[in-house]
Formats: sequence, structure tokens, C-alpha cells
Amino acid sequence: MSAFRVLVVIENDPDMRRLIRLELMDDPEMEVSGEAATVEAAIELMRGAETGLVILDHFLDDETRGIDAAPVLKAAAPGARILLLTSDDLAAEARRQPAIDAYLRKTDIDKLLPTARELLGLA
Amino acid sequence: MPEEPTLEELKAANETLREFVAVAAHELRGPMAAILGYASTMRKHWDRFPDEEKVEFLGIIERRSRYLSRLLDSLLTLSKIEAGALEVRPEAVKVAEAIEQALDDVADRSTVEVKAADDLHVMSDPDHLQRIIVNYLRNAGRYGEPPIVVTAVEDGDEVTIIVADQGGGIPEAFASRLFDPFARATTDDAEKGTGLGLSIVRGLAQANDGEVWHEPNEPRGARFGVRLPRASA
Repeated sequence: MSAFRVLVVIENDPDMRRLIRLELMDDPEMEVSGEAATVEAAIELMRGAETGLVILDHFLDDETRGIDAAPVLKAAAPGARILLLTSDDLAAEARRQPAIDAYLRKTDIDKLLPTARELLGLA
Repeated sequence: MPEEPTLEELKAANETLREFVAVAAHELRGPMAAILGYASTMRKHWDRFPDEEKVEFLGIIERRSRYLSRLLDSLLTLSKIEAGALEVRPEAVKVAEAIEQALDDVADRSTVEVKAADDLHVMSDPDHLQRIIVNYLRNAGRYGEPPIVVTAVEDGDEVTIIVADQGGGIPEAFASRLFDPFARATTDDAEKGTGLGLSIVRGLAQANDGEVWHEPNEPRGARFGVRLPRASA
């Protein structure tokens, strides 16, 4: 079975990028195929690739906000599920944005793998 | 007797405070998430990681914890300044000595040139003056390029101290927000400082009857200034 493609979009925090990779590395059905600090760079990475899941931070470079960027990412990769992973409490805002499929706080990083598996239909 | 603030002024102050608390909470949550995350990952997968990697993770936890500690100290200082609760003990301070002491706190003084008359004094809390100069020097080291030049000149009843560098300068769009809390030119800066240093510098200068400013350096770089009341020796 081929691995799903997982794209990490995150603010300029290499520690968090590494942590996300560490959390997902044990799952043979997932592959972190790329990392980007801006939505523009993320869309470029997704071009021509089958992205199963986008892990999206809220506070991105160039003052873009993840919640606002979610519809743009969804339009660029309609088959991708979008997981908003943020340090702030944005549950209500995330619920109001239909392009966001799930929301998780970074302090609940323990739940990242099961949430990602559920979004990808692997649970 | 000072005038009572209007309802509009109180509402505006309340909104400013609310925004400040929201930004401060965000700034605290970022490092906290990394600390919790690495601690949790290590605990769950202790046997999976080699010792060298575990040491690296502990290094991340330590670095982010130290940053949090610095941020909390800065937040407390700023809140004291904002509340007018900062203790100020003004005395005549020899400017050249204050600059030398500040340089002792900053790495690589070989890149710094000092031009200050030996008999120049300001009326200031010596700790506050020290903190202002150290902050300017650190910023020049972090964001600017050498040579860094510190000048102190008499200006009527005041003394002007300038720290100038030869770096890329301050982006124009960012210049007006420089002394605001959590102002950073880019998110890359998050690891370099708390984003509170210059707002504390402004508060310290004002508490000592002084003022601060920024202006472009010629031909390139930035100049940060502080003006304080002159004192006799």
C-alpha cells in the first residue's frame, strides 16, 4: 500500500516542524512530503502531488492567518483534508470555517497521529 | 487635579489592554507547546531515540524554557512601567562609564567604537540607563552589522546617546511600530528576542524624563537614540 502524502504548513518554528515529523514517523501509511512557511510555498509543493492531509498552523509568515488561508488551500488541493494545528484557542473560529476539517491545539500534540489517521480514513 | 478619563478613553485603554493580553498569551503559548511536545514525545518513545537525540530534545526544552523565563521577566517589567509602579532612583551617572559597563554585558566589543566625552553626566537611574544601552547594543549586534558606533554628546540641558550600526536598516513599514510591545519585523525574529525590549527601553527612558527614537543611519544601517537630562558631576 502506498503512503498518503502529508504536507506540513507551519509558522517559522523549526522545533514544531520537527516535532510533527517525530509524531508521525512511526506510521507506515503516512509520509511527510514537504514543509512550507507560507501558503504560496505550500501550494507550490502540492502542485501535481496527491496531498491527503494539510497540517496548517494559524500564525504563518507574511502575516497570513491559517483560518483565512484554508479555503485557498482547499481550492488548490480539493482532495486534501485540512487540520488546523495551533497554539491558540481558536475552536469557535475553526468551526465556522468549512474548509477546515479538524482542529487541534499544539499542546495536544499527543492526539496528532490519531487525528491524522481519522482524517485520512485510516482509523 | 488631573482630569478624569472619559468613557471613550477608558474603553480605548481597555481594548489596548485586551489586545496586549491576547498577544502576550500567544507569545507564551508557542514555546510552551514546544516544551510540552518534546517532553511528551520523549516520555512516550524513550527507548526509540538514541541518547544524542534525547540530549538534543532536552536542549530544545531548555532553550525554550529560558526564553519563556526572559519573556515573563520582560512582561513584569513592562507591566510595572505601564502601571507607573517602576522604582526610579535618579543620580548623576557618568555616561562613558555607563557605556563601558554596558559593553561588558555584550559580546564582541571589538566591533564597537565609543565616542563619549569623559566628563559627560546624565541624571538617570543607573540600572535603567545600563539596560537601555545594553538593549540598543544587543539589537545592533543581532540585526545590524559592524562597525557599531556609540556616541554621546551634550545637547543643551540634555545628553544624547546614539547607537548606530551599518546593517540593512529598519524596514520603513516597521519603523513606526518599533517601540510597540511584540513588534518584530518578521517572524524569524521570534528566536532572537522577546519583542518587548524596545518598548521597555521607551518606558525606562520616559520614567527618567527622557525620550527614545530611531532614525536611518547614513549611508546605511540604523541609529537608535536616547535623550536624558544632563547632570553636573
